[in-house]
Amino acid sequence: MEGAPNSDNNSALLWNGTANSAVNLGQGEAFGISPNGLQVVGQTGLGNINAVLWYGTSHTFVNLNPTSLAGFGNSYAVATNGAQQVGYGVFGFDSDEALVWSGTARSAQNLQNLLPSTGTWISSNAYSIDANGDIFGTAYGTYDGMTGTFSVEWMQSSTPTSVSWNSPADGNWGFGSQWTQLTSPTAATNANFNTGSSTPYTVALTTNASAASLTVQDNVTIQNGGNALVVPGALSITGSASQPASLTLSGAGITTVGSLNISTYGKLDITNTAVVIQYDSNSGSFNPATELQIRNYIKNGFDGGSWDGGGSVNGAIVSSVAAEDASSGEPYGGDSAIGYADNNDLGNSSLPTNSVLVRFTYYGDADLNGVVNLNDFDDWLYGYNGGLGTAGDVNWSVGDFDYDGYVTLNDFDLWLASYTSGNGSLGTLDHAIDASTLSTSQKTELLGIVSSVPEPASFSFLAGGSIALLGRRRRRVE
Amino acid sequence: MTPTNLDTFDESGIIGTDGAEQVGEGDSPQPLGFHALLWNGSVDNVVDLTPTDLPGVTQAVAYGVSNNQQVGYGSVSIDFSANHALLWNGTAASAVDLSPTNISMSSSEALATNGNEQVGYGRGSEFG
Repeated sequence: MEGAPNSDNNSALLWNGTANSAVNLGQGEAFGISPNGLQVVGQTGLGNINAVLWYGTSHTFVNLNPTSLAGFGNSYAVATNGAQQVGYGVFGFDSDEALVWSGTARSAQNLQNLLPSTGTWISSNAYSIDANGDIFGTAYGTYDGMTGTFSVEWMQSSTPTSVSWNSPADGNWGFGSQWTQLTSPTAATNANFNTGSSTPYTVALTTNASAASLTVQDNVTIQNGGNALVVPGALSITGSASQPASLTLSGAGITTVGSLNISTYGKLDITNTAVVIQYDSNSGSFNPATELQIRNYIKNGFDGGSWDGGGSVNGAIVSSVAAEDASSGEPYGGDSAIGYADNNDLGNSSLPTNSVLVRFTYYGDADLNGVVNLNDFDDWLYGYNGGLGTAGDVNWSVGDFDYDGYVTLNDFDLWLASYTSGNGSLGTLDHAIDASTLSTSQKTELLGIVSSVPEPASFSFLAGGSIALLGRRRRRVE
Repeated sequence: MTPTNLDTFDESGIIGTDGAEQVGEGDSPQPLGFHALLWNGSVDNVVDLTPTDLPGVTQAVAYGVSNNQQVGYGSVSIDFSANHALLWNGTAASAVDLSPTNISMSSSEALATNGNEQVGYGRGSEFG
């Protein structure tokens, strides 16, 4: 026999059509059951009464009494459509206010606040919710010159300006019930992952998705399943000392954001995928600030090659795939890294001009096409000969593969390791060095480095985002 | 919606609906007591659901309806201290006594149904 000790003597019951099918859900009363039979709602409590949600047994008890809304002493859940629950809370001493939940106490939303602002509302109750999420109830107050009780329908179609993930549990981005405002984000909606919990969870995309902005204060993984996530505004990862935040992006889809802000206690893990930061419309002009900002984030994550951000969260872009590769040498021989470049330099026709591409790739892949070859050597050579960028402020696309702002022989070593792992021909490289504009002593030095490298014997294909990287890159003309 | 096809009710009220049918109660002076009622959108064809073949049940109230299934309770005492959760399928004769036989309860009421399952509460349970 199920249930918990109580002194009230009322026990919520669930039947399946017969007297001997009764299931004791525990102390309280059950007021409603969803069409699919999976959710039962009601109330429980000794002293204060709390709205409650059951999933068929007393052991699946969820207390819905609002934790994110102040002032509700008692609450009641009276109906459910299987995704959301509706009812009311007693505000203060005796004023009922209609409530809707999405399965958790903190998801409670006060429906009375959504009544027309031209009215004066004393109390409200929600009695039912249909399959579309439309909620029916009553409200008492003065509206349009009349005072009394009004029948009310709260329509699901209204689009909030901001939505928040409702609990630190795995779910689907596209399911409105996963968000506290009962609707998933659109391009006009700011999305927040701020459940207040440090428990990691995964949000799955089953189709392309968008949000006006995206703020992460939790530890969340977005598994894009090959779908695109587009955020025209800012992606902000803003943890705190007491609760660091992280966003992990995985899957073959591309994430495009308008800007990227990672706080001291925030971390972005791109695993083996790619992010595009479109800092201006294509009609705007080149701005080096974003590329510099990204390089600093990546440098924090690089941490001398460990790719773990130094073991702590410090405003970093990291790659957990590169970190594993650096640690074990698998599956990319320790050659994997995070590359970045402004598309004014890359000239990738599949990307916006004024954008910065950040992608998982090999050290030395200057043009970010996922392959390390002599084109990338040419890029390194351009930077090594004093090409684009000032000393201490040179970027990946012209050969700074260790993020120190300089193009040196150390960067050549990183390129060479990837080149040889990819079965690059050392003979062809010798010819390229001979044909270069380097001085005789520089050529001798490089050839000496190359001659010490054994012929390559391994090759790994690179996983990663599905950006089409076309043709030879161009160099920005300043 | 006082029934016109049932001439013994002074008052009546709707408590629940699924959009197609309505259920509630009617107050009857003779025989005295409350009767569970079922409407189908009009006052002309109201069904008195009060059980006719459950011993001792003389009064009833219907709270919920869904997909032609109705729930409520019947009482064997004038003061409603000993209620039996009830389930109907549109007629008084279809009443099923849901008073738990697998759990010790002195009184019970069914408040809602989804057409297949029913919920409510019982009183005087034993906990193990």
